[in-house]
Amino acid sequence: MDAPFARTRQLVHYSCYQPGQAAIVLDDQELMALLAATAQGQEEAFARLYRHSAPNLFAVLVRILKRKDWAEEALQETFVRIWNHAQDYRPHRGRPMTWMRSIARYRALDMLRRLPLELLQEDLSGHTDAAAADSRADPIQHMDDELLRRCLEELQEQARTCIIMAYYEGYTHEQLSARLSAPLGTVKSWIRRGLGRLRECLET
Amino acid sequence: MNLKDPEIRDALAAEFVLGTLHGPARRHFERLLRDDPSLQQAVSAWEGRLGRLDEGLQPVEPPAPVWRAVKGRIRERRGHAPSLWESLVLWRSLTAAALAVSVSLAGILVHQMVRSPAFVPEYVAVVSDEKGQTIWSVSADLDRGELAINPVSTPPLEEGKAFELWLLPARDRPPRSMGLLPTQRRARLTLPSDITLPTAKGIAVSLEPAGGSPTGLPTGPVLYQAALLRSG
Repeated sequence: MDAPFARTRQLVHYSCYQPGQAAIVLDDQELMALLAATAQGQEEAFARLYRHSAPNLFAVLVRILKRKDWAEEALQETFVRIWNHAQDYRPHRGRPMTWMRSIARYRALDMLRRLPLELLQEDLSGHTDAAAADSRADPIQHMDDELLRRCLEELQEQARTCIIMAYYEGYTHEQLSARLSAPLGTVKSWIRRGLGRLRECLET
Repeated sequence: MNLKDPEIRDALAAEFVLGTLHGPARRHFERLLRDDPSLQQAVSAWEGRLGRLDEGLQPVEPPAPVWRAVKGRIRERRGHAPSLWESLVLWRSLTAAALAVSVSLAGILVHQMVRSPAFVPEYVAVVSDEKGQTIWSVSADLDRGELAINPVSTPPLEEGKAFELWLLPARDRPPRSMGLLPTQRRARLTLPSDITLPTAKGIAVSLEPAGGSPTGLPTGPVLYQAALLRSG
């Protein structure tokens, strides 16, 4: 049980610095304290939590949903959920930012899967947000996380592409199969094997 | 879904986090996840692994109205904290037919709230048979995005069949499947996030093959319909 707690003692930088912009950085423990206070219904703590994590969660949502109006709606849902479920956060299971980002991602995926097909097609034909487009430009090259980058590079190319497109943009097996002109079964096995290798590599 | 094999469990947890587990399989997995700590552990571990992909992400400042909307919604909820009194008011506001069973239902509702205090029944519906006997009570918590289903007295079901719950949207839009109804135990169903309950006409239950309608629309007879009422 020691390891996860030990990890939380390090100061972890969440907000990326942008030149000329002072980023206020909170570490895991501060975020945990804010989540605990939020669970007790303290609005001020929740407001602080929002200020420090919303830009990060919004970036995740824009990347998956592509459109800012959808991302705004998903962000609102995400924070209402964080407010209601703050008491469910378990520090030993994962870092606070990971927990919150997962809530946001699941919300976005849920939305994406339920949007009428016409809207999605209309969206794919050009209405792509600049922020989302950025993520397509070789995401691995700019990764600071050395181990993750090495592990991704070691994957078979198709497996890496599938995992990244699914994670960053919410592609389904079927969409990947169409996009990469590969049979559905092949896409599924690329992903399954790729995830297995990724796990092995990250844990050695 | 064979969830005994640890490798399959881990593979499903991975694809749940990645997002490639979708449709009914995802909803089924979400239900299993609720009461399975080791599966929750596997999901958290994958959230940690794949979450590393997000670490370098350039933050994007959301527009101010989002926070105002969040604040408005949490304050509105606080004003609607569930209480025994409110739930009685709620049941009194039901139709005369439903009123006849209000005593037992209020009991059920209170029991439900005691078990999971975070669930706020914002909308409720009572599915009853032609004699007025309650079959299921359904309540919706929009913020949790969940429907709580309580089977009170369900009719017998032939083998190979299932009861499927449908939401009847406003105007003439086609019914939307909310999932399969339990016959024995309480269950939670995930409410699609794009659903607007306030404008819905109500809910319906149809008889379908086991596993649910293969077409996404009711294929068997529509057995029951019920109105959806706002509580409080």
